[in-house]
Amino acid sequence: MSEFLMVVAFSAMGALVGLLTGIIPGLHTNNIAILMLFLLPLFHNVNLYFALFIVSAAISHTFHDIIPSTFIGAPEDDTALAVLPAHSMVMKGEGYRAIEISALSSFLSILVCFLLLLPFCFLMGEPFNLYSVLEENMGWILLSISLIMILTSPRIFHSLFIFLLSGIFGIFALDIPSSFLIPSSPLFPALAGLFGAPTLLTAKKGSIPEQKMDEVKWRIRKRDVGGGVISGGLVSMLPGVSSAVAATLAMAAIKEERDDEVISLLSATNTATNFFVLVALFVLLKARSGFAIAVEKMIHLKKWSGMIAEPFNLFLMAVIISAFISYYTTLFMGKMVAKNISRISYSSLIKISLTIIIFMIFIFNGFSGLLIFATATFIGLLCLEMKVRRSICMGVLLLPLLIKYFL
Amino acid sequence: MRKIYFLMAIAGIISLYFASSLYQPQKISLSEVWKYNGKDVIVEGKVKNVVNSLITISDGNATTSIYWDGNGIEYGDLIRATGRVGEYGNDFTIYAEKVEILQKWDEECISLPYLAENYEKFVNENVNVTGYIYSKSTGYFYLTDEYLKYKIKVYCNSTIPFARYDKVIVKALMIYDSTNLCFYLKICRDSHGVIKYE
Repeated sequence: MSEFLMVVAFSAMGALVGLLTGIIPGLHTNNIAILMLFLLPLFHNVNLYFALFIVSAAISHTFHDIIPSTFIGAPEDDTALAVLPAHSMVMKGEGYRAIEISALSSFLSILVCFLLLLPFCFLMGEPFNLYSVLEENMGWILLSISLIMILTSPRIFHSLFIFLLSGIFGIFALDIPSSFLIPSSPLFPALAGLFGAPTLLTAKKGSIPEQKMDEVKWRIRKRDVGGGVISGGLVSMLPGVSSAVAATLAMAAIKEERDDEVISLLSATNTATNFFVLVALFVLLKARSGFAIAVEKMIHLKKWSGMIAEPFNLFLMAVIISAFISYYTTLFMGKMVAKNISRISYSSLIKISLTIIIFMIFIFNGFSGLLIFATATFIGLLCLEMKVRRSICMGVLLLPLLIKYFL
Repeated sequence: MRKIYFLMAIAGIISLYFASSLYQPQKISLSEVWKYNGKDVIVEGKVKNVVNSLITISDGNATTSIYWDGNGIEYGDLIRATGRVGEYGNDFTIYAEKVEILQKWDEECISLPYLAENYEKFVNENVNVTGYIYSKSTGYFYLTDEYLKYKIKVYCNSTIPFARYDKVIVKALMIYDSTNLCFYLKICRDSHGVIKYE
């Protein structure tokens, strides 16, 4: 088979695996990356194709993970802040619209990422070396984000209280090695508890309205996609900072109120973060996430400067193929779920959703995961009770990072 | 409800605190250090290099570096390090809180044929080798085995007080000379030397 066809085939397969990891709560492309590294010695001369497969799955994952976040309130780190607006759109019968907006925003963010690829590389690498400036000042950037989030809240002291409580919780929860049956981080139970479960537990009882499938005119705002791409680009370069921080940065910088605009902003951020993690691998030769580390271990990396040469061009091709397939599969899966979701009562949906979340947490994180989930749920409920903005719960990640940078 | 949620959250955090103090860091192989970025781990290996606070260890399959501000670690020591995986330059390192010496390099005495047949395990390590003096010269001597099958040059600063075919124990650093494509032993530290085999 020609190289071109192999690239297309592995990229397409990666996109389909990304679909699976995206729609199964708690499953991450990092799990697939570890599996691929394990399988690699069994095959000959497939290192490049396996690496393309992983990159394609990572991009596809960012398209599809909005589906469980929207319909069952099970968030990933990058979709945690989107759970509330997406779920409220479901309750207005606009669940499919939320998926459409997310899929299109992710797709547009890939196009914007390509447009900004060259300027971004010049800024981050030679001659401007903005990367070094960002890395040196990351503590201050995170402190600024935290202060903006707290000080712009309507209830400053309540917000500070929730921020600190979430942060102290994060310090202990994220320190526990909680992998159970599948290697995973304690982030999933923490975020599912802070952002997912309280939404489900406090939702007004009633029936789920039939989801609208008709063509409604809506538009994606340029500043949401642009802001998401810039936030994702900045954060993807930095060590120890996840895409959840990119989402928080984007939310702090662009104060969106409408549900659809928040979803658009966060989806663009999410996809752009993984795109620029790939770029960082070839421009800075730095692996900034699990999938990038796996790629680094599979192929010999050549620093990209000037013309886009192999194998970087093949990875960019995989990104395009994955984005194209993922856009349509996200719409297809979203439509399928939206069509059927109103057939079940809301109380049943809540029970099913919580059962799925708890089951997945047990599979991934065992009993310690359940303890993390329960504690996070009480903090999330307290946040709702005190009428504090939910993004303040991102203290779970921000406070441990601030401590790491300043102490 | 607010009080209940708060109390439950605090109870959960306290439980997590105790749970985290009960957990022992996971013991991992050096090839999987990258998977544990930001996590506490335990690793074991033989010291291959020591540069200031940076110690390089190997378990035979992979190497990793350990950042530790402590003394007493020498080439060839088998150590166990406990600490958190983090980044150091373009690679991962373990910022160790505790380093234990499981076996000092000179606790294990090996014969020259064993060293010759397993040289890859001992390059850049302190070794404790038994053999026979083959020839002597100023600044160096040759060590051989009882069948005169293997020979290795041993550099030393002073002339040794032993005669040809005396059985000795040499404590020295094993080095590969890439210019001459050969291995040699070098007596260069206080803990090194040549003693008569009793």
